[in-house]
Formats: sequence, C-alpha cells, structure tokens
Amino acid sequence: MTYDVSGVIGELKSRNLLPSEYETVFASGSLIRGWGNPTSDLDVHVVTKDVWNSSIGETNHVALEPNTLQYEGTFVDGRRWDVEYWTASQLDQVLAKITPEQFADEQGTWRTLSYHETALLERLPYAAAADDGQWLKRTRATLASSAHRSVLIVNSLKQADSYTEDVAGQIARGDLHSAVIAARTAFSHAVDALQASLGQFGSLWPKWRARRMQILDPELLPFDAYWAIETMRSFDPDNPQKWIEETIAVCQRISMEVTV
Amino acid sequence: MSGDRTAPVGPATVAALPLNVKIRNHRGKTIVGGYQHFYELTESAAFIWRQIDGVRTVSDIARLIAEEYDIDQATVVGDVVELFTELAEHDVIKISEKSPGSEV
Repeated sequence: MTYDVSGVIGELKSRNLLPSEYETVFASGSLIRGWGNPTSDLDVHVVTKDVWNSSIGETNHVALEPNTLQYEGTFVDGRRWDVEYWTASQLDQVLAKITPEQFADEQGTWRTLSYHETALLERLPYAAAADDGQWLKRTRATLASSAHRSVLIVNSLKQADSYTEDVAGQIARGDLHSAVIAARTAFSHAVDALQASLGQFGSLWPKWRARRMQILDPELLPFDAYWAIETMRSFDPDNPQKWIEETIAVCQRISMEVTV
Repeated sequence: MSGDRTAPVGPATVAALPLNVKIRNHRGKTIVGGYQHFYELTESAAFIWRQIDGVRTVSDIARLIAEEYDIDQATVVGDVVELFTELAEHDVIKISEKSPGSEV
C-alpha cells in the first residue's frame, strides 16, 4: 500500500513550507513504492521558481547553478517529511545533462551528475504527483526520450569495472579478504546496472536491491541465483578465490548482455 | 588455469576471461578491453566470446559455431584460433592447454 499524497500540498502550505509560486510538488521513496515501514520518512520534492531559503540551514551540493539544494524537515502525524527544494532551472539543467547528444559526447555533461542529481533521476520514475500530475507526466516524457536509462546503466557498470579491477590486483597480491569485499561490491553495482537496463532504478538505495530483483526476476540472473550470491551461500572460507571468480564471472555476463 | 599470452593457440586451447576484463554492449556492438586496449568485436567474434567459459576448447567452440551457422568446422577452428591469438596478445583473454584426461 502506498502513501496518500493528496494532502501534501495543504500540509506544506499550513506549515509555511511552500512558496507562493511553485511548479510542482511530488513525493518519492520507499513509502511511495509501497515498501515503507513505520519509521520510513516521506521524501517530498518541491520545484520552485525562485531559490527557497531554508529555515533550518540545511543544504546539499549539486553540480548546477545555483549549486545547492535547500531542505526543510517536518513531522506530519508522527511521520518525518524531508522536503527538498529544486528550482525549475536546476531541474532543466539536470535533464539537459542526459540528452542523447550529451551521452554520445566523450566529454558529455552527464559525467558531472552529482549524487543528488542522480538520486533525482532514480526517483522520478516512481514519484507520485501531489498536484494534477501534468508536470510529472511531461518530465517523464522527456526522460523517456533522453539517455536517462543509459546514463544510469553506465554509471553502475563503471563502478562494477572499477571494483573488478581492484579484485584482480588484490588477488595478484594475495589479499583475498579485500578481494572478497571488492567482488561483493562489484556484484552489487553489476546488479544495479542489470536492474536499470530493465527499468528498475535505485543504485543509491542498495537496501531495496532485493525488492527490485523480486519484481524483475530477470532471465539473465533469476532472483534465486542473485540471492545465493548476495548472501554468499557458496562461499568457502578455505577457498575464497573460487567464490570471487564465480561472482566476477556473473558480473562479466551482465556487462556482456546489458545493452547501453 | 595459468594463462600464457605467448603460447600458440590450437584446437585444444582453452580460453578464460581475466578478472579485470571490461565488456560493454553498446546497442549491439560488443566492446571488450583489458588494462590498456579496447576492441570492438564483430558479430561472429561476439558469439565466440560468449562461449568462453574456461572449460570449452577451441574445437568445442568451433563445433558450436559450425552447428549454429551450418558451416565447416575446420574453417571455424582457424577463425577461433586467429581471434584468440589476437585477444590473448592483448590480455583480453587468457589461454591454456586442456590437460590430457581432463574431460568434464
């Protein structure tokens, strides 16, 4: 069951957390996906015309102009709401970074996506509009014609490659403990890439990886096979290299079959 | 399996992927890379690549391809040998000889 967002705009207004001019309000996160629990926060996003001035002085950095996001926090019926304010211009700049032209460019601006920009791109497909939904509909249409999916796939594959390279070096040095951890991490990123290729995004929220895999149960890596590796079921402390090599082979198969 | 990039590739050669090989499938184009070099594989080379599992010999892979495309196996052996030789020289695969009596 997902969270009812119909009262979000009214609640923000009553708490003076909504500017007089705004483009849209939407919510995202585990509650919206139906995965929430009693302690889950509600992530609310407000797209404004002008920069919001946070009353709690909480900001985060983005590689945009202006280069900060503003935040507010409030409790509604005992549940914490984290409210994140984006200007319409910042949103446009994020979308401009992931056009097919930028993705095809060796120096494309998609490479400059910051953590919070990537988080936004991973959340938009599952967001719930608190208004009439027209803004979200238009934005999703823009995403669909952009390199949104390719960008998120490649970001995860690059991470998987990086950790796989570490595995090779660590094994060459006989550092098997570190190699096991690096192989686990490479596997996580490879699975994120596989999920993104199938339209399930959320690399920044590894705690929901199994949930996403249950939804997909992909032919390339069925849920049971995924879960066996995730839980290291075949790991032998006397022969860790075998588990490492098997796990990296799965990462390589994902890299081979996932189309960017 | 120990890889030897200078060893000659023959019908009994077994190829395996090094741990750090990089692979991308860019809209049907398969690109593979070692530490320094990247290659775009042809469609048939990509098919061969998919059969590399550290167990199958060049002959085994050639048989699979000959059956798949209904072509002469001896010719395919030559193609696989040529491909594996090039890839091994650039550390994109590692090769070894199948030990006698190691049927799986």
